[in-house]
Amino acid sequence: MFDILTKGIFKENPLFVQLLGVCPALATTSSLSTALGMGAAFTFVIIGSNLVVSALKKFIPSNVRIPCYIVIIASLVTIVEMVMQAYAQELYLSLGIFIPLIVVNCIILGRAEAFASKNSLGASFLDAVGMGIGFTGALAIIGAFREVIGSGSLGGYHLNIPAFEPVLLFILPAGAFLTMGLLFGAINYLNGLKEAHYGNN
Amino acid sequence: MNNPLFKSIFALTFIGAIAAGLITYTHSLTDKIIAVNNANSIRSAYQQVLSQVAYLETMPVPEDSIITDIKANPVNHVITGYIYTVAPVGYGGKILLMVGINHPDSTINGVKIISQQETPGLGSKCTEPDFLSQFAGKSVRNPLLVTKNKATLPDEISAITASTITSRAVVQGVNVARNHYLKHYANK
Repeated sequence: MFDILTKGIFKENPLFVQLLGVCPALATTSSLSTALGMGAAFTFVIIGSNLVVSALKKFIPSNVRIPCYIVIIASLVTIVEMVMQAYAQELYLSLGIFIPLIVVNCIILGRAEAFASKNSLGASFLDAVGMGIGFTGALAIIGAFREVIGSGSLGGYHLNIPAFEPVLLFILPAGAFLTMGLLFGAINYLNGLKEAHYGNN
Repeated sequence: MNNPLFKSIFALTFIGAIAAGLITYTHSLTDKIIAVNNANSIRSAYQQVLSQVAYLETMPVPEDSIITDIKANPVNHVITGYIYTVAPVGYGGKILLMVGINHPDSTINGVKIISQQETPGLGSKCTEPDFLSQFAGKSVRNPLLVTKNKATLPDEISAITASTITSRAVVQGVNVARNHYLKHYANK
């Protein structure tokens, strides 16, 4: 049971292991705060989507399941967008175009198809929470790294690192590719070491 | 009734109808709050670019211009300032900003960025006081110029590091407001 929750964080991390949702990850990680904002909105939508899809799994005919999932996800995103605009205008303004783009986030559709449509409500909820934490965590790591290197600050607070000139490239799109490439490489290298250590089974 | 086509159509229609209902309901709940939020943020922007904002009067806006709105601020029937809303094009699209001009002493009171999509961490610094405070107190008689170095002349504005396009766009917006003010209102 606990495994359903933790697999999204480590073993099946949507970004670092499944390499899903790379596009929003590139776009929203120029600072820690936008990364966390995107992660929070994503987590809310995936929990809602997994719960609704799991509850309706007997009702949705398999030949129209994808359009049904899209309608469910798009409605949730629209509702989140309106609620954010009403009660968290600052966050809404800073996330801009990325909120409607959650609709086409492949992790959410992927979990609806691969997990929620085959599992119980409780399991789908845990799966969504795990994936949400995993994705948010991954975004936060990239966002923090890019913000420190690229603007010399963290979470908007200026870090006074002596003799350090921020490398502007890292908050530009090219820096997103570089950071993610290096991180994915490091994770694969570590996994390779582990396999070599425990034997390849 | 057990026809699979009928079942598919029914399921999709049903889900669509429920979704539409929920969205409509959320919209009816948040609609007014969003309108109040927007009105408040515009109101507070007016107060940040001009002092003593009272009842604002809408003035005619020229066609074929980046000026989207002009407001006059009459205090006891004497106009004490104008607020221009301009939308110059920056690096990531239109930058919407407000320029408050004191009347009749023809100086810039303040500039505020309303919305922008400039590069985060670079051009987005145009919203910060470090950059915007340079405009306050400048005379509108002469065009403002962007310099990549530290501003030394009275009509110079220092650009944001590595964001010359954004800096130029903001300054261009202020210059357009400035020209329009000089031409139409300065000597009245």
